[in-house]
Amino acid sequence: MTAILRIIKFALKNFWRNLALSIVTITILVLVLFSTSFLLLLNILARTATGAVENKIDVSVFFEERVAEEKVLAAKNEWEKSEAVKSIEYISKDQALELFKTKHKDDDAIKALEEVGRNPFGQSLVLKPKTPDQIADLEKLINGGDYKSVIKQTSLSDNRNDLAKLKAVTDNIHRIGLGASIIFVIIAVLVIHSTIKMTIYTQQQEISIMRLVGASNIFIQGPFIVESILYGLIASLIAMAILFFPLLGMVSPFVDKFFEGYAENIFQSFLNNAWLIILLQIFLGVILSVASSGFAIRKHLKA
Amino acid sequence: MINFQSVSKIYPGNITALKEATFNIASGEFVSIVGQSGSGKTTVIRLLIAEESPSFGKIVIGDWDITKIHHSEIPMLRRQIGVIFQDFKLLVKKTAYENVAFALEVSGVPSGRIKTIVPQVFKIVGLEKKMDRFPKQMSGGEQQRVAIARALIHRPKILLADEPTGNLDSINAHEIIDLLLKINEFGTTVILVTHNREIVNMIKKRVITLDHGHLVSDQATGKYIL
Ligand SMILES: Nc1ncnc2c1ncn2[C@@H]1O[C@H](COP(=O)(O)OP(=O)(O)O)[C@@H](O)[C@H]1O
Ligand SMILES: [Mg+2]
Repeated sequence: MTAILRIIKFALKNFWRNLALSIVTITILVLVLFSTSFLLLLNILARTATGAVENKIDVSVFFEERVAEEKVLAAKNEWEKSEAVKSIEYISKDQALELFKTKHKDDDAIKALEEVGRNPFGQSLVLKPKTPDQIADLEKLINGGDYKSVIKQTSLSDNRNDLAKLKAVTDNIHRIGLGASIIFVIIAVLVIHSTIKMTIYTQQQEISIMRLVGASNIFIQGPFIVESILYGLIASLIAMAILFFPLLGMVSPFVDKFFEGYAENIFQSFLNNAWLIILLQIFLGVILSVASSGFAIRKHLKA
Repeated sequence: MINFQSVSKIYPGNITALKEATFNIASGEFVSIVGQSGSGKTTVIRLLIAEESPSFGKIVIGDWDITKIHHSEIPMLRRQIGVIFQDFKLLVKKTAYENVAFALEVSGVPSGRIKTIVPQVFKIVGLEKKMDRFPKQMSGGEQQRVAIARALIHRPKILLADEPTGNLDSINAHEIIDLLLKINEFGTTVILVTHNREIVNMIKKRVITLDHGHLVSDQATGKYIL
């Protein structure tokens, strides 16, 4: 315990003594964490958005008004056997009415409905394909079978174009983010390495005296390791502070607009993954820092 | 206590600093190692604290063969051997007290013990009233005494002094030698490296003489012969 406290004390001394270097090191580490978090965030976002868009690709089959419920359910049963079908949702006449009412509760359409005096909606089935490209198979399935005569209308909601666009955009951002991250990581390794090297250099006299008086190796190397852990921790705190509050608050509305209707609120999705991101940041910051200083220690602080 | 068995040290560049040196130093002895500059005296010190390892031969301290000591054992060795040098090797930004305490701190000694031990060694070297001075505020002789206090802090069985009076005037030099003799009387084995003729002749104890890496004489109550 004494040893650990003392090593931390020595580390803090080194940190203050080379304050300018410490600040540079932390700054570059913040950049690394920032760009990697951005990358991670983008991945989460792209996944949610793509999922949302894929989920909106479906075929709605509206049956004639007079068709019996058994017949519709039989169709559902038969189609569910198909390889291309992921799921089929059954919407009864009452449910269709309810859906219409909630959708138009603020406009005049509801009055028109009242004038009709009865439920004018037929039953319908909503078929979702397993993969977006199987939508054509679904159409074949619906139009090719025994139920063609009782189907009033089919309506296709095909967002594959949106999906492709979305993919192109996120792929591009991904590539840029990855490039930036790699560059920042390389710079960080170099900067941390030379910072620790400088610290070791300024400590030459202390270190040689430590050796002379029989200091344990942990007292010689420990402070430099602790110093680099400190860099990693401080950098990840700063990166998170910037990421979670000002930046996300600023960017979030624009991104939300871009992904409008597809992805959940970006800030929310970030918060949902907050622990993962925080842990990853701390892990990455500390590992990166300790590894780069480890190289310096092994090279310049041989026992 | 200290046993050199035909020890040779050849530095890179084929420089022979020590050539088949064999000697034995008993516990509690006071031995002066003399010789001209470059004769291999410092090399003997470096070999003893495992800063260098011998090229040939065998070195045993107590019953510890340090010829091929593992680097993880070196700290243990150094806590049993105190060393002082011509240039004191004090940290200028620390006070005398802090310089000595530092040696204990980096060996993991608890703070409470440090507070009791450090004043005790300052008393031994006669500097108990100047513990809070910085090296710059002390004379050379006083700085060397701080270095001695630091070397004694682990209560070593052996004290090595490599030209400890090289930077001191003769009055201060005599005081340091007197202190080393006093420490020796308390039972610590002392090895004094010097090329100061007057001092060697005054001590009247065993003298080992080196010349170009060869051990040329080993006298029980020697004089400076070169
Ligand atoms: N690290 C080293 N590399 C090469 N030669 C060295 C090294 N250290 C000492 N020497 C050489 O070894 C010889 C003995 O040196 P040293 O033991 O320091 O002598 P002394 O202390 O008696 O003056 C000298 O010739 C010196 O130049
Ligand atoms: Mg020398």
